[in-house]
Amino acid sequence: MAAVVVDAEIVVALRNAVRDCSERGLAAASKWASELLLSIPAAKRSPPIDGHVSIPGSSTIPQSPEQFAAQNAAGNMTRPCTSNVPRHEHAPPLRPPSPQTQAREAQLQAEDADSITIGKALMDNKEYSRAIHWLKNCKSAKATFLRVYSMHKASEKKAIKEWYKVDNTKQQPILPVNPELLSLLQLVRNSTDPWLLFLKALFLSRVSRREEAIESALLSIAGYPWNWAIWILLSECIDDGEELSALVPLLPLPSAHPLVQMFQIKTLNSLNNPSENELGLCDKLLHEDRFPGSLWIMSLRACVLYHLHDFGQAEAQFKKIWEIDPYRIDDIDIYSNILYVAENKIQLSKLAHEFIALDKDRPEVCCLVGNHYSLHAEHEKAIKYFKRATQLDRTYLSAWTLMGHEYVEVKNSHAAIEAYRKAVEVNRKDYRAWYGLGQAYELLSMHQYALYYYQHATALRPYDVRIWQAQGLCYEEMGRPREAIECLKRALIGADPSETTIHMRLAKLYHEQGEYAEAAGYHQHNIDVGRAAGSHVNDYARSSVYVARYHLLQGGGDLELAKDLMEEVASSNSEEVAQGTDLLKKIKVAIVAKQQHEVASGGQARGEHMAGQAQG
Amino acid sequence: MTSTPPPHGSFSVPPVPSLPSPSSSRPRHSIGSSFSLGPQSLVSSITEANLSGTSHVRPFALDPNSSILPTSPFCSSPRLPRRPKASTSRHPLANDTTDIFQDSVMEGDEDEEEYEFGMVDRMRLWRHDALMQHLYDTAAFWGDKIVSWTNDPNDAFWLAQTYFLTHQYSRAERLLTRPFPTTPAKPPPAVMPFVNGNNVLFPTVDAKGKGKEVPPALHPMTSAPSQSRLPLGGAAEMINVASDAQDNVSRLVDMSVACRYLAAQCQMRQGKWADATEMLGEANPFRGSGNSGPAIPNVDGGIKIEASMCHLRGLLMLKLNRGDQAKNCFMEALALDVKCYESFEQLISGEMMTPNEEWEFVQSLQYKQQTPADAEFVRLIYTSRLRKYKHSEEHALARRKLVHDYGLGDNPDVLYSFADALYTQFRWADCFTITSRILALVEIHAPTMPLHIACLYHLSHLHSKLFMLAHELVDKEPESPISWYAVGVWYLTAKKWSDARTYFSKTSLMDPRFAPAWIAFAHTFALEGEHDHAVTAYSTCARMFTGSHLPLMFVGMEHIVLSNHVLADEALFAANTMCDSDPLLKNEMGVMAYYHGNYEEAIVLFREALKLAQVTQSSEAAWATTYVNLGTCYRKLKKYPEAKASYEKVLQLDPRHVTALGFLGIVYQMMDKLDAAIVKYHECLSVDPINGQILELLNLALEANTYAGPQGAKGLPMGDDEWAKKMREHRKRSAAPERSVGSQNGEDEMNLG
Repeated sequence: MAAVVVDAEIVVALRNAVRDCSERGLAAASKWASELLLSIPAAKRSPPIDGHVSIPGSSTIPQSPEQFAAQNAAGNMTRPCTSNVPRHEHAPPLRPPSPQTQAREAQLQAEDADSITIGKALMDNKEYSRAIHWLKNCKSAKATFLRVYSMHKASEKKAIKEWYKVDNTKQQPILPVNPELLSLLQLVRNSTDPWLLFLKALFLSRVSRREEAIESALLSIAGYPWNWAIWILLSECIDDGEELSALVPLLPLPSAHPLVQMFQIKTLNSLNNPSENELGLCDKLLHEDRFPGSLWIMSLRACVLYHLHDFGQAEAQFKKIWEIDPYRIDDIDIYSNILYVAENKIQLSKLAHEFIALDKDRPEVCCLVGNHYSLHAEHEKAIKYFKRATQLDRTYLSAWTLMGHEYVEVKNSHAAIEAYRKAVEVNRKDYRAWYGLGQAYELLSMHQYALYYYQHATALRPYDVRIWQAQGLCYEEMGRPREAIECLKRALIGADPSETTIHMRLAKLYHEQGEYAEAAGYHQHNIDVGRAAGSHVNDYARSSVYVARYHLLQGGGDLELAKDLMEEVASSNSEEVAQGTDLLKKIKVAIVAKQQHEVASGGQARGEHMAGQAQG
Repeated sequence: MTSTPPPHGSFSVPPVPSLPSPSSSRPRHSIGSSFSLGPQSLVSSITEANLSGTSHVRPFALDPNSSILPTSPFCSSPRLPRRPKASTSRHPLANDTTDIFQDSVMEGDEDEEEYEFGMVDRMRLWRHDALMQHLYDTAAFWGDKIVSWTNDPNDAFWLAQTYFLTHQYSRAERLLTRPFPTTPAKPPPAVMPFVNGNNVLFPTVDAKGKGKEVPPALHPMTSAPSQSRLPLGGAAEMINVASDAQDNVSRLVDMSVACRYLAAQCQMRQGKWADATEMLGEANPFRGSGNSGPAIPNVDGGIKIEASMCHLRGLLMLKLNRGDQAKNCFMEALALDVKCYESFEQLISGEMMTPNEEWEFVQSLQYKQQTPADAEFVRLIYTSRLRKYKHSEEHALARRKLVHDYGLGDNPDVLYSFADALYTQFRWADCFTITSRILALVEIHAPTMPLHIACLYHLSHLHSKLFMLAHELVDKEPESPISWYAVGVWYLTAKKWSDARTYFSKTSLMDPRFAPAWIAFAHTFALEGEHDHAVTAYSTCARMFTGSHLPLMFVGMEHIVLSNHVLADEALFAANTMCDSDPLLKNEMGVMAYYHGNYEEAIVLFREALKLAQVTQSSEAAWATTYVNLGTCYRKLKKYPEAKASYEKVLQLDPRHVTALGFLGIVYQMMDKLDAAIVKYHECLSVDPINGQILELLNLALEANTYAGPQGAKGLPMGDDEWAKKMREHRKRSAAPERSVGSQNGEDEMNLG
């Protein structure tokens, strides 16, 4: 895959994006763009001398910043695209607003300039209603954006306030209800401006009209690709990896474009499902030619590693990030998760103390502290901090999930279910929340529900042994052994070969079904594993007894094997000694009887013997 | 004040009746009295006048087609010959008005300009100016003097008018109904022949044609009145008077239609319904006479007094609770003179005619014949007021013309038409914008107020505004029913049904013809769940407002709630015959069809409703229920894709619509999309967590899901083999860390044990 090399055009585009986003109050997108810009080596960032690209932001040039972006984007398009993913025929072409539109918009913006300034200032001061008021008569798309976005913010603020009013009551809906969304949607229904299209997509996704939201988002990207907010929104609209791979060819940019790659990694991270491929993409993005110093991409890489369970490397990556920027709080929660799993209490404590001093009002920091308390088994305190994290950011997924886990710890399944539900509502792609829901319902002996949630988790994460196992147990509880066996067998495929719990459970299920041969097979496996691991006879004595009994009484027929097993058990000091001795006697009698029988009817018996062995 | 001179013994009273026609030919309406106060005498006299046509050149007084315009103050007062236009002695405004009247109306009286300006004429001028300046006592004082001198019926009429304006109804009535000498008693000093050409109201209809007689001029100071005014008294007295009545005594009401109308007005104001009925006649007495009827324009450009009388008769019928007759009277009034807006207003705001009826009626009025020049405008402005269930193009066209051709874009009535159209389309926010504009232009606009209040009710964020409005209205206009109606509606928004009811009944007491209050009164019962009471209340409405299908429709809705399907059908059918173009009604009928199991028919009805509603973006939300109904019918017919589309439409309008979410879940389950069904049930429960039926459905779906196998109904994303391969790969890759992962979950498992 030929990677797009960062050149002056991208630098200009990024610079414009920083300004355009911040002028529209999209702080996060602006931050993202500026971080990325900074990661490009200084030599490239310095303004070009040839004058082909004029200096952005200088007021003397007649071109609008949008036009720059458009040109740059168009430039990217015209470049021979050697992507490995063919573009879909219906993918919207990269289509910045036409020069006429831009000229008109520029003129309108000039007319509205002062109103826009006051609107933005009021918005920064969170005086949304005033901003709306002062922008009321403006015509330009930018002013409209500021106005509608302020309306959205104001209504969201109100909705959340209403929501917290009924906190901890039965009446509280899972999500804050914003009744204004539909009317806001009406305001931007027919817009073509990329920024307004972004708002349209936002509102559509909020009223769960996902397909339309994706469509709007694609159109918005086609008009202005460097607005990171729209990519995040698009990523939230995607439900699983398959949808992502179906969507990539529909993007207006070639798949080798850094934006597409970043989007891909980010989305897969949020799906908990990145692969080695994404790791490779990260490395490519961090290449000298592209964004070598980008902390954001490094952090992305660390997350990929975390999801790949490569904790050592992930930790190393995080440490590197903090070497460069010791005050970076983003993604600190992921790091704390790693430390938690590694049960690195000391490091976690240190981190918690450091960062709580730095800024205790960041949800990530609250989450870190929550993890710290959880590791010290102070669950109530942990819950308090996770709750605080969710209060600071209602959409903070992992805090909700972790809160659910903590509630399960303190055996409060109802509260756990509440927390998990909120997590699921924030993001339906987090398998841990679904899995947690399943567990909580299992605690309440509502197996049907538990099963359903496990199935959801499995759909998100089809290769997770634990979920398959949990699903099997659920079926077992519901008295459906066939399905239970199927699930456990699936779990077995992915499980470590030396695993025994699943085997034992399968054996038990088969035994209850009267399929002794199968059961004996799993017991035999247990014995083999035990022997291979060199563990003591006591650990697998029960399996030995079962296998022996099977061969003696239930048609196995391999008496020699049974005898060997029982001799071993009888000579041990396990609980099953008495049983073993008893069986051994019977086996010996049976062997004698068999030999006599063999004498009587030669080859036939041998044949049976063979058959028995084959079966075993 | 008027001082009635004592009856003088020596005067001779002309015999009564002094009408030209034989008294036996007049039908008698009043048995108790020897006099008929009914208007038939007038009719016969006008016929007589028309037939004879010899002595009376212009019998306007008896012409119901005329207005009282010719006798308007400035017309009946003689003009100063060659009076300078900008007279400093008079208020410039009054001056202007006078000039207009004189120039336009008195054009034909040029020949009489040589009159000297006598004392009576000067006083007439005082009287009229005093009236214009609302100095009623002044007007009455001088007017009384004039009558004393002249015994001119015209002057008497104006005196009565003055009394009427000062609310001295019985005084005015007596003046009009007492015997009145038709000859002038005593000419005022230095009066020139005063029976001038302006005296059109009273052409002196006495049989002997004494009108033109000019009595000898006498000095007022020296001579006692030879013939004073007849004594005022009751009927008995009048009979006494009548016994020795002379030929030249009559009653004003018998001499002039305008006087009769004024007398009836006075009786109305005094609550003498029976007298007023007698005065006006049970039915239009002029009907069928030669020059009466809708096709005949009135002679002087004013409003036909016949129409006014019909209107007054209509009001009387309303007072007497004879709604049907009232409606006919109003229709007659409007047909006779399209300018008679009050009758139109009564018909329309009183919901007397069904939508089709009113459309036909208003379109078929004789605009061209009556007002050739302004026909189109009058038709348009009336059309714009009609109910807007049908003929939407014509309505739109009418409004456009009014705005563009007539420049009435900012006129409250035209704006009201726009607002009403929007309200009919359930576009409350837009409607509210316009009604606000109207109320900014004029503080009170009667038809707009109910609309404005209804918008405030529907737009929940404006409830505080409604509160303010109600307070303001009650402060400013405590006498107006609409103020209390607003208070009632505010209580309705606050869900305080009984308080709301109190105020609505107060409103209906203040104005029994105010339809919104009656309906709202019934609504309070319906909203409270008192369906039987609601049915009764709605039925009352239906009886009172016979032209509106709404009460009947509400009755039907209540019966649906009460599961009285037969009664519901009846009510809805009746409503439908009155108005077959109301989408709401179609919806209700669809519901009934659904209950009867006629799903196909129900679908047709629901679709019709949506079509009629001309569903637009902003009004769509109001029709969510109809979409739900439609979807449910499709579901019953097992047309699942259509049902799904219908429910999805609802969810677009309202993403948190519990019913639609639940039904969509059912549809998915029926389509064997268990997973989607379960998702929908979950969404539904997240809105309404204790919905028992949905919980049960969810349990059913989950049970079915259990049977569907380990990966649910949808199976694994890829094939089994593919999955197994990947699973193995996965194991190899993450074999080492997997054991140690646990993450948060690992630790949970231990706890869960």
